[in-house]
Amino acid sequence: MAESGILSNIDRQMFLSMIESAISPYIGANMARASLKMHCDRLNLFNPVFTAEECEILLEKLAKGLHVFIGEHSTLAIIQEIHQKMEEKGIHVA
Amino acid sequence: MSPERLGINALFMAALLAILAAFLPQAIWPDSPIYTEVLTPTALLFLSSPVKLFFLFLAASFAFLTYRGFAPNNPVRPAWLSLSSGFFLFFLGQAILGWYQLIRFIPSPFPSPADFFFFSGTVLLILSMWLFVAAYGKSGLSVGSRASFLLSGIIYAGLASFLIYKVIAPLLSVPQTRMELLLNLGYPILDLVLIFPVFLLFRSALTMRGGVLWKVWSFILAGILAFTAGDILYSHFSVFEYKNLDPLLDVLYASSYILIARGTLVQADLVRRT
Repeated sequence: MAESGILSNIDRQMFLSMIESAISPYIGANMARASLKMHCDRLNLFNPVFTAEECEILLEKLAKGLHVFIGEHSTLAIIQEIHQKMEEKGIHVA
Repeated sequence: MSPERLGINALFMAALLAILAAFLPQAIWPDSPIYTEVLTPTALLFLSSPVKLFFLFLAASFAFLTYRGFAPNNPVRPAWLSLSSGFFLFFLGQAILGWYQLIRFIPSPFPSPADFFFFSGTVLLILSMWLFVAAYGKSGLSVGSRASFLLSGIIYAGLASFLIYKVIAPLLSVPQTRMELLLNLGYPILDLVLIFPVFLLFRSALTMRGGVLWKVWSFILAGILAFTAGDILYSHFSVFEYKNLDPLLDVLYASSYILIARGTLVQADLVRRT
């Protein structure tokens, strides 16, 4: 835990579930899970704990893909929703 | 679900049911008093033609709104523009048929100027489907494994072989003018070319089950498959002069445009959402 009381790391599974539940209503649970796995593999994100920076990199990659399917507005709304959930868990995002 | 959305769903469902209820029984009981006294051929034309025009216009408009809803540098934007333009050309073609049928009260000739719009509209749809395949494939999201795409290709090859052997090849054996032959062969061949990327997109859409995008693509792709079936049957029926199956064609075309308009509406709503 950082001095400010803000967590800098998040449990991998918790974070991926958070993303999955946010994007599944749009692209379906299958595609959400498969896409998350694909990006984690490509980005070598295998640690049981993600740093805030790793979370942002993953979100950025996902957002680029989501743009193509659901447009920029809906993608932004999803990313904001995930950020909000992260803040609720005490993870600071830029 | 909001009352507004319930109302929109009800409109599409009512239109689809009305078309099915009006036309399908005619294929089975063409001499029933309902079809000789109430739903006469003229009355049915006044039902089907405006329905086709209305939903084609909606499909073109919603696809255009979707195109406008994406940012200028979004790689999927040209696909939506091409889809919208294709349906707008279909709308113009259908309007020409309507002019013959509803204003001049004569059967629409074949070939007619409408064929130019239907033909070029189909070319734009083919382009748009490939643009979707390319944009979705490069999105970085998982749109299906290579094996599943290979399987789609194999199923498509089987279907295409069957259609070429059973439907397209027999068209060559019937005496026709050069223009009739060109169109009677051209439509099914173009449709076969169109169905291939539709198969690939359908495979991708399957991975979206449970999401709102599944709704978008299941409606659009089912609609495209319905009208390609209509085109292929139309060529076959017109060459071999099967008159009693016209109601089936009306059902295929009208329901196709209703489904496509429904799918494009969901997508337009999605990209406009803030």
